Amino acid sequence: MRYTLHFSNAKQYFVHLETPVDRQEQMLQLQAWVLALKDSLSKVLNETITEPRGFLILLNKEVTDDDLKTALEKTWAATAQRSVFSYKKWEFPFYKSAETSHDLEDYFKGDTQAIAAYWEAFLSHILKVQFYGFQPGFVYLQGLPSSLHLPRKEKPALEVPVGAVAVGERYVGIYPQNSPGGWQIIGLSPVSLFDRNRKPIFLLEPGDTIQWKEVDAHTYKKLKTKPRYIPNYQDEKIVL
Amino acid sequence: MKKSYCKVIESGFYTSIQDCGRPGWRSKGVPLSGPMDRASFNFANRIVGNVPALASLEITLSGPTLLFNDPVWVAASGAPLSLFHNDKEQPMGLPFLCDLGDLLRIGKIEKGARAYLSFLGGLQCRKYLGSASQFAPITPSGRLEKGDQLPFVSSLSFPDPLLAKNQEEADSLEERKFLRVRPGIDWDQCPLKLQSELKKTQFVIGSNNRMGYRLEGSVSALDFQPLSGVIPPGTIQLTTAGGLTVAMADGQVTGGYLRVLSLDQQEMNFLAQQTTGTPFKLHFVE
Repeated sequence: MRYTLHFSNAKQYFVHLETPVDRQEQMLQLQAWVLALKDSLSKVLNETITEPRGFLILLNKEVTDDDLKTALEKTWAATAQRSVFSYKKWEFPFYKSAETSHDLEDYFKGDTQAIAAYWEAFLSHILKVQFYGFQPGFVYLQGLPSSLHLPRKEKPALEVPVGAVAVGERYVGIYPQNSPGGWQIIGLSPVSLFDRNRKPIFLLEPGDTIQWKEVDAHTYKKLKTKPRYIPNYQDEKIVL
Repeated sequence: MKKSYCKVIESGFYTSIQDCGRPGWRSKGVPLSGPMDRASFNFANRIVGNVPALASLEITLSGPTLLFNDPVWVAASGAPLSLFHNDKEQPMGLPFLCDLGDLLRIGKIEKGARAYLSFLGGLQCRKYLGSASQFAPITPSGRLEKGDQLPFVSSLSFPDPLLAKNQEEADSLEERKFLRVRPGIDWDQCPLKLQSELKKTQFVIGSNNRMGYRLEGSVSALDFQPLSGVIPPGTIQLTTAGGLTVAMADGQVTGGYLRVLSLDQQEMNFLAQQTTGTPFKLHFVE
């Protein structure tokens, strides 16, 4: 990956990628690179935060630009040689709840056929976890074709329920807690993306994929109330 | 063994438990949290002889009333406020002993916005993701509530205090009408016309809280919407409407506006002591 180093202050650098990360293998490579960098800078590194255009490096001690550049080059060279990356392929239950279909009804002006077609198309797509942000546990899911993009609401809803599956332009999200939100709600998932009583507290990693499985109201409620619920997944590998 | 604690009789305007926050979880969308004015927070800990980052109370605009069930040394630092210990007024910046049955009533902040109350040995609150800093939903509650019990390790003896005047603390409370800013991650994407507007505009502090400060001013609006990106605390974003927002301690990890400028920790400490309506200009430093 080609990148430039943006210096914010003595302990904060932004690694700016020439082209934003988009494909699953790029996401996995980026993750692997960041992990390798964490090892290599373990004595001075506070944390890293990834986004599509690159990642932020937060240090607890000042280092020279040259030392940082060397560490970045070495860890990228090692990552670029790797050909196998592992990820999790998740199956997330999806419930076409009547209580949460107002946004689709508004958007399609009550056309029930259009709504049914939207749901059918939406459920057939496998999405990829791109990055975390907005709230604890909130992930930006990528991979929705442009025909299914929905505009953000002009006025955010004051209360979006936990588990709401929502579309905002090109991204899909699942609300990890009740909160205000400006994306169009299209259904509910019983999966808690953040649960401080569960191990792991956060389920997803960038590069993981999510496939939807439609469930009825009864199953949704049963899974929703299951303590420390973890949905089905398979360990997968991608070979470059 | 008897548990030592003080009970929250009144919570004050907005009081929360803060330690150094939870670095290491921002890659999962969790804000850093921690004190808004780190210098005053560190100073409060030093006055009671603590190492810097122990869990203390962050007081915003007006303070809590606390009832003690065991003795412990405490001290306050930051924005000046009134401290009544069993109706006897105590000076800020000096440690004093709160004994069994004592009532500590913390009044209004007279100038500035935030003060800190530290306890010898630090508050012994449960840590979530490595930190006691209150932030819902990581912690069950985002702020102190009436009836809460704040646990500490009781002690009558007092170690050597570090009472030397702290230069950093003076900085966050100093009076000036400018904010020192540095170019942010997206500065180069900011149109030249806007760059020069930012240098000249008079801003006024708008609504603010632990998440962020709004700086209101008439800067031209952007005609493009950038991709969502990482927002470390101190980042100043230019919103599409032409205002600025500064990400503070509880600020979201990512945001969708242009990251034009940034503040370093010292300037964040200073901003954390400012209140709505204060006018400011931006001073650019390299």
